[in-house]
Amino acid sequence: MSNIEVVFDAKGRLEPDATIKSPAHLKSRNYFKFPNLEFDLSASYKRISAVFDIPIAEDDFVTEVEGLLKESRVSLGLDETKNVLAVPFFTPTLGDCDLGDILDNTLIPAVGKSYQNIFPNYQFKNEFPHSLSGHLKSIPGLGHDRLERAVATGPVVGLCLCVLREYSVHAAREQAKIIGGNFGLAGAIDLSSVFVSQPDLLFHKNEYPPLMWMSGCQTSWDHANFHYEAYGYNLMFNRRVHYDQVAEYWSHGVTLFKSL
Amino acid sequence: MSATEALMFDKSLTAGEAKKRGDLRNRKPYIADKLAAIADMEEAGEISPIIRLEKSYLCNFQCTHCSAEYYMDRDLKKKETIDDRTKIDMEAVRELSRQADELGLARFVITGGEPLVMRDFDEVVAAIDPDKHYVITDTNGWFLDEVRAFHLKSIGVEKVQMSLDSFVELEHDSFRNKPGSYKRVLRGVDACAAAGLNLILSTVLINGRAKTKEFRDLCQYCTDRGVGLYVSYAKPVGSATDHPEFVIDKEDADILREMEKEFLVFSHMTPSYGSYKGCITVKGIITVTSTGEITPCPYIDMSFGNVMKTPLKEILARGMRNPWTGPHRPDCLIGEDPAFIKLHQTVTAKHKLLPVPYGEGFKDDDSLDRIA
Repeated sequence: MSNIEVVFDAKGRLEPDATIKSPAHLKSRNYFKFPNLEFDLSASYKRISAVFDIPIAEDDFVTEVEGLLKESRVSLGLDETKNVLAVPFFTPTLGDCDLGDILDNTLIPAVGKSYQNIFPNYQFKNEFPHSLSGHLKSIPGLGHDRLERAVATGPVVGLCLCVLREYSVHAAREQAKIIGGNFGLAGAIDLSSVFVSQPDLLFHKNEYPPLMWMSGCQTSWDHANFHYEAYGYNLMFNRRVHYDQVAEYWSHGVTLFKSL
Repeated sequence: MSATEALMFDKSLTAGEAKKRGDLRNRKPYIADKLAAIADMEEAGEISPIIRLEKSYLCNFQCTHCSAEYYMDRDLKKKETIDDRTKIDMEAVRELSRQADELGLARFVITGGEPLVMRDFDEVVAAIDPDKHYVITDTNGWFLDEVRAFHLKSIGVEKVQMSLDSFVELEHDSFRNKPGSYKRVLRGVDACAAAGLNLILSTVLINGRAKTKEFRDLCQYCTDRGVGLYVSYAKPVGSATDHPEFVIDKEDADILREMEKEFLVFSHMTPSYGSYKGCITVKGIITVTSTGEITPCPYIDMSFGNVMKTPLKEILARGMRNPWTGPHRPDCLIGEDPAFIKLHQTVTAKHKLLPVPYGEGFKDDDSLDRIA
């Protein structure tokens, strides 16, 4: 039984709460699709280990992630039939630094390295032509702020649920507040860590995958944010104006984490 | 630092592109300023579509995949239909140019039909005003010899977009149903170079073509000549309505995306200097038909309003509010989304005169929730 009142559709999309005022599609035709990824914690651990110094053994990583998965299932009333896409991640200690600097110096290069490790013939590209320094801040009370504080002093293991599909950025923030609890809205740190663990999250040969926003963070621009997006077989980080519209193509993650 | 110098120092530009932009700035600074402002407009969430103007559908070709076939007199004659709608005249073109300029729009493409058979082509260029807008013309190349190319340059046309549908002469001529047309295109390439006209070649990508040696050879030819190859996905509209097998799949689109790394090849979906528009409906392009109707792309035969009755600004706003054409998406709406293709075919099949007026195709209350 769930302790948070949420409804999922058959494809694992969390349907928007009736109280949400910002634009979100009430129903989805699920036109943009994530690839069918295996929830393979051992493979994730290996991909993470190839990029970061992960201070726990594979078995411990598996145990921690399974604990988070169990917590998600209980909290959200998830069972095997819900088709929810969950991606484990690990974030190393990042120190008390500016989020933009963390992206520029640590996380974006890590995503690039992990992508190159599994797709040597394709590219990861940071298309934002300027330094990210000073351009991102965690939004207080949406969860990414807790994560930012946690990784300032130590590493974390987490789980990202790719369930907020076809929400505007502001609608995703409203929905994240409704979910509450230990969940947070994915932003710069967790989303980038997700792509280190699962660089093929948006690699889909037959269908177009959605774009993933860093909506747990506020940027220097009211109506623009940063995101990861596929371009064919390639992955990119970029900035885009969203003007608080909703699009079928837009997606956000909800994360849980545990400090190690 | 002057704007020209700034262009030369913009590291995101190729040397060739920086030179072209610098040259334009020296000759037409007003247009150069508008083009330079496009990035800022996008940053501010504004749109800057290219305006395709279809003033006439007269054409000397009858191509297998022509998207304008259902607008042509020969098709209306077959259907025993008389088009008594008001047509745009030069005053309407001037007014369109004025409104576009007011919105900061900077680019017009004269298309058709075959623009170079239009008797009033020069008058249309003047009505658009080549000192206010960057003027491009489409052509099948049949009439583009060196004399014509120099003439186009002299009246203010900046760029030519010429169709080449196969690098194999027989295939191109057969697809175009016009023997000799391949040789005329190659003549046109040389003519544009001689006249100093910017040139891109355009070609239609049908299902499977991206994997062929012919397509690769064409990409190589264009790259070697320093000519961009604009690839248009085959759409199930016009003459190609009965050829669903032409429609590409994601693999074709992705192969093309990979080829962009190697060749001077691009599609309407290709990022340009950091701008990732995805599907360009309304955001990157609009078409003005001969009856003044504005459609969101060359291949969607449903209107967002008539520019002779409704301000351009409001028509663009309708397009941006519409859930199909407004939001960002990475795929081609009319070329790849089966639900929209079906909707489009169902709606347009009921109308002998295209495009379908606003309210009968696209509507104010369109909603994807209903489709879902």
